[in-house]
Amino acid sequence: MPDLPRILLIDDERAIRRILRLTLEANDFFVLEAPSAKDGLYQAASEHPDAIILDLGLPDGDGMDVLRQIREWSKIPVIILSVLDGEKEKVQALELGADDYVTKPFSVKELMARLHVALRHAQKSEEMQEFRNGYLTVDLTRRIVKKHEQTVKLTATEYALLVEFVKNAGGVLTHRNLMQAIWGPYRTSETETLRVHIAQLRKKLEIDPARPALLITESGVGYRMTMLD
Amino acid sequence: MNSEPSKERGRLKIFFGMSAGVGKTYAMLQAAQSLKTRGINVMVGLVETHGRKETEALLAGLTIIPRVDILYRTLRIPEMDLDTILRLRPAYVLVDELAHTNTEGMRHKKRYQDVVEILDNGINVYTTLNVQHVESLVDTVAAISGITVQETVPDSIIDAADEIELIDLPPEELLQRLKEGKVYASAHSAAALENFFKKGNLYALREISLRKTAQRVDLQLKDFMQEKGIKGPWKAVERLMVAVGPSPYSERLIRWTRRIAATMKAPWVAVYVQTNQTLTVDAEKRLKKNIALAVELGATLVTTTDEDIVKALLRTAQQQNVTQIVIGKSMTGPLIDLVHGGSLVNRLIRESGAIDIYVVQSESASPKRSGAPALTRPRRHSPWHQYALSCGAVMAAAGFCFFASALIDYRSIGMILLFVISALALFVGGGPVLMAAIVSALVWDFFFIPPFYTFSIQHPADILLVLLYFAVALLAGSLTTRLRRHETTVRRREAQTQALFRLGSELSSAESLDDIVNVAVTHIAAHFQCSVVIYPAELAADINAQPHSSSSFKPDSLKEWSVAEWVYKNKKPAGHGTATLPFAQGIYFPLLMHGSCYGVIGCASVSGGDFSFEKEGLLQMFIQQITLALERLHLRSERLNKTLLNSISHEFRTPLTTITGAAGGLLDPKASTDPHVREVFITDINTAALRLNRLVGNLLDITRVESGSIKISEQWCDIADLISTVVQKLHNELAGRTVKTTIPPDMPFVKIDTVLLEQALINIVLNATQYTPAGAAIFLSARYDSPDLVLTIEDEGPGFSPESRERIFDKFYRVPGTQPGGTGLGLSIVKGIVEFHGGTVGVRNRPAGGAQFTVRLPVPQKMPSLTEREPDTRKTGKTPPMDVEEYQ
Repeated sequence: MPDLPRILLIDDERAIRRILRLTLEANDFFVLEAPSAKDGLYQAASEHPDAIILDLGLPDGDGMDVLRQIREWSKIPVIILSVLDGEKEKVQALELGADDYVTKPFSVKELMARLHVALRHAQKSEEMQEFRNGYLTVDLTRRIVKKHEQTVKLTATEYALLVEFVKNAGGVLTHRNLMQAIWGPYRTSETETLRVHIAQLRKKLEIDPARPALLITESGVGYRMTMLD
Repeated sequence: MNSEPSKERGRLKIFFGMSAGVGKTYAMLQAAQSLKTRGINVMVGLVETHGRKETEALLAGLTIIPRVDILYRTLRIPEMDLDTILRLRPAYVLVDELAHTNTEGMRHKKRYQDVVEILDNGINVYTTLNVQHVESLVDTVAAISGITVQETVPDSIIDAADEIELIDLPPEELLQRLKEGKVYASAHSAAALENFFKKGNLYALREISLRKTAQRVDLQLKDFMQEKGIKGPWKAVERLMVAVGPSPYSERLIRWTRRIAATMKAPWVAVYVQTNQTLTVDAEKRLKKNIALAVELGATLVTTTDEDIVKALLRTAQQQNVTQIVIGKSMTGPLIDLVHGGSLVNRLIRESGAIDIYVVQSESASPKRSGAPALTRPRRHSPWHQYALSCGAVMAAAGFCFFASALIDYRSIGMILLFVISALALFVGGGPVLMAAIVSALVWDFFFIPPFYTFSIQHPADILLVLLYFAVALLAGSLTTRLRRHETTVRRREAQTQALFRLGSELSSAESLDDIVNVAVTHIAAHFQCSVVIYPAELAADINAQPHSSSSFKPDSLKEWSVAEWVYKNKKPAGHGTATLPFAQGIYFPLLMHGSCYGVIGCASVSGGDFSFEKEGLLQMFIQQITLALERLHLRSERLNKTLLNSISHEFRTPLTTITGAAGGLLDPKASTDPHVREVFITDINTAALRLNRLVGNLLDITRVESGSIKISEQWCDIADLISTVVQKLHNELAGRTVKTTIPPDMPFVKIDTVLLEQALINIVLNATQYTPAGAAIFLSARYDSPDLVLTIEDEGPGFSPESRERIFDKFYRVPGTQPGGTGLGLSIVKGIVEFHGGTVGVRNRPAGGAQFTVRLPVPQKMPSLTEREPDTRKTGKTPPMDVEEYQ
């Protein structure tokens, strides 16, 4: 099985590693396991995994440090396993370059979805011409957004926001990620303007803006465009 | 004491009781039976069973020496056969009722003499005795029960006993036995003794017998200790009391009392009577020193307030069961004695009744009054203007009289002057009144009493008049002044009571450590003009190194803390103004209650001075109240912890049981083949796991809210987004329900902690889903009612009964009769979060049925601005105009 994507699991809990291994193998992944930060870093360098699932609480070091060190030399997708209510931690990890996170206790389904998204992003290197997500179509070359084949008029900011979501479809974007992408690195403290634009974007793109299903809020972290269907 | 074992002499054991019927004979027979089973030769010399069946049964198997009939006049009275006993020489012989008087014609008059003879013959004796027959106690017993006992046993016999066993029975039980006829077989004799068997009597007799036995144990202990060279403890019979005051001679008195108390092995009480006299600073210091000395020497300290020292002393003596009072010989001068109705010593002796008074030469051989330091401030120094006022008033009155003297005679003028003096006493101190009295008497004599303008007096009757005038003026003046002083005292005491009451009532509503510390610091600071520091302590741990943040006294060095630590470890006050670590800035007291120390409180006087004795007493009372509040808090949290543990253990076990059960089912090869069964098991595991997860989340949340470790991170928030997130997160729980959201179009952004508020809303909505029928609608609404953000959550469920409505936000409260699965924590978390934001949350029932929760949060608001900023215009070419209408 030479072509199976290789996933490196860095987690000190054996039970969690075993469940993940079984599930990942059932979903056609090849699994590498590392029970410690040290071992994880070693395998990340020597085994060339396609993605890493990283627990932030490791016995011999901070998972955040592992992430930082990996990011020094590699863009390999990293998905963080975080504990309940660790919003600050999540934001920190995402800003350090993690691709996504799942909160423990996580559902396997959710983790698989995040992993697939992360792997797809890593593979996608060529310019996208057109993006489709359920009823939404974005023509990236002609800047035309269609909802149910009806053209939607967006402001420049709204469109720029949407493009960020499209580029990271299925993945999470922190407030800072979005603001930096739209307004540059110098306006990152006030999030209310971002919130207004998101609300507007939802009004134009969501089926029911009061119950957003496309652009959903990740409390305390940011936003995510879900992949419909 | 019979400490040397005499080989020939038998051993005497007395079964000692407070009255008939406690079971002495029974116990003696039991002891005899046990001797017999050990093969020892026991015989019954004489036992009175009084027809009690249980007692008679115990006689079985024992050799009974028959009694001999003694002829007394015409009667034949059966008595113990002493000669037979001596002849048979058993190892032990039982002789009941040691106090018995023998019939005339026997060898000895008293039975105890028989016993002595038996003992002298080397036979061991078991005997019984009631307390009222002990010779030294006869008077006491007679005083209590009104019964004079003729049959007595000398104390020497009792003292010579090798062993005394106290047979004790609570009076209630004895009375019960009496009622059941177990004491006296014949109802007649019971009735005859009815007077004796009164509860009050029995209690007293019981105490006396217990004390007598204890005394003996004490003596034995003393012998033992003397042998081993250990200093003995006190014996609890006599009680001494010494009056302590600011006088330097008081110290001698204290030492004397201690010496006497030590020789008598009696406990002693030091009493300080607080009068309304103001002590000088030196006297205050000496008083504190004397009191400290008394306490150090082992006295129990009692403080009492009274103007009448004699009354106060006697009252205290009675309260403390004091038998002897020690006082100094010259406590007051003869003049004051006169005013107080006789010398204090004489009055004390006259009024003390049963209490003995020791009068001790308290001053040195040649007492020099001038040499004795002043104890009280001379009636408080009256300011000079009071003298001027008095003088002026007298002069004015005299002037008026001078012009009116044509109309009124000099006797009436005397009355007018007298009136002025009395009136003056209402406003000025004793000194000015005295001066006014003298001046007016002279003025009256000089100007008005014939012959005029001379101090000589014409009529001898007028001499008397002037003298009387002088006396009455003085008396009226001093009485009024005393009355005023008394009033001041009463007012001061009233103020103290008020202060204590206010402290107590505020403490009773304090619900957390912070509240208690705040109240304590504010009240103590206000009342004692000092800054306060509190070091709280976890029980069985050290005191916190940091004082509580509300403390108004911030010690700048570790020195202060080390004093506090000493106080905590030694559970004794220390610091400024005490003998221990006096270099400290503050005086520190342990917060001690029922043996547990809840921390240390320190007070640093603003002026840097010491607290007066009176203030310190009041401060102690304050501290006691504070400690009580801390104890209450501790007990409450202990109870809460217990509830928490019970609740947690149940809530954890239930889903864990489901999980292990379902997992077990899946492991079972038979059950797990059916795909439907497998799915049920798996769903169960999943549900239970989610429930566990929610529980852990709740517990973490409540811990964070409780410990105050929440950090609010406020951001401008779009409430519509927040509510939709809540609804989305709960889509499983809300499945099948209509959720209606109402938000006004002009809803501004509000600055809140989004994550926390989301948590609060989730908990309220989750609560609604748990307590309303499936499919019932839920209504969410938000509005900004300046300056509050108002959120309402309504449901169509049954609503709350009034009593649940009050408790719904309490931790672990669950509405009775609701389905299991909740922790009773969700709404407490809501309350915690909302209050953390400075807001309120309330619940009421909707008129249409169902509950309505209303959350009000005072938060800043701001209309969202829609500034377009394009960092890179190249991307778009031109900026499209903002379509404002679209956003409404």
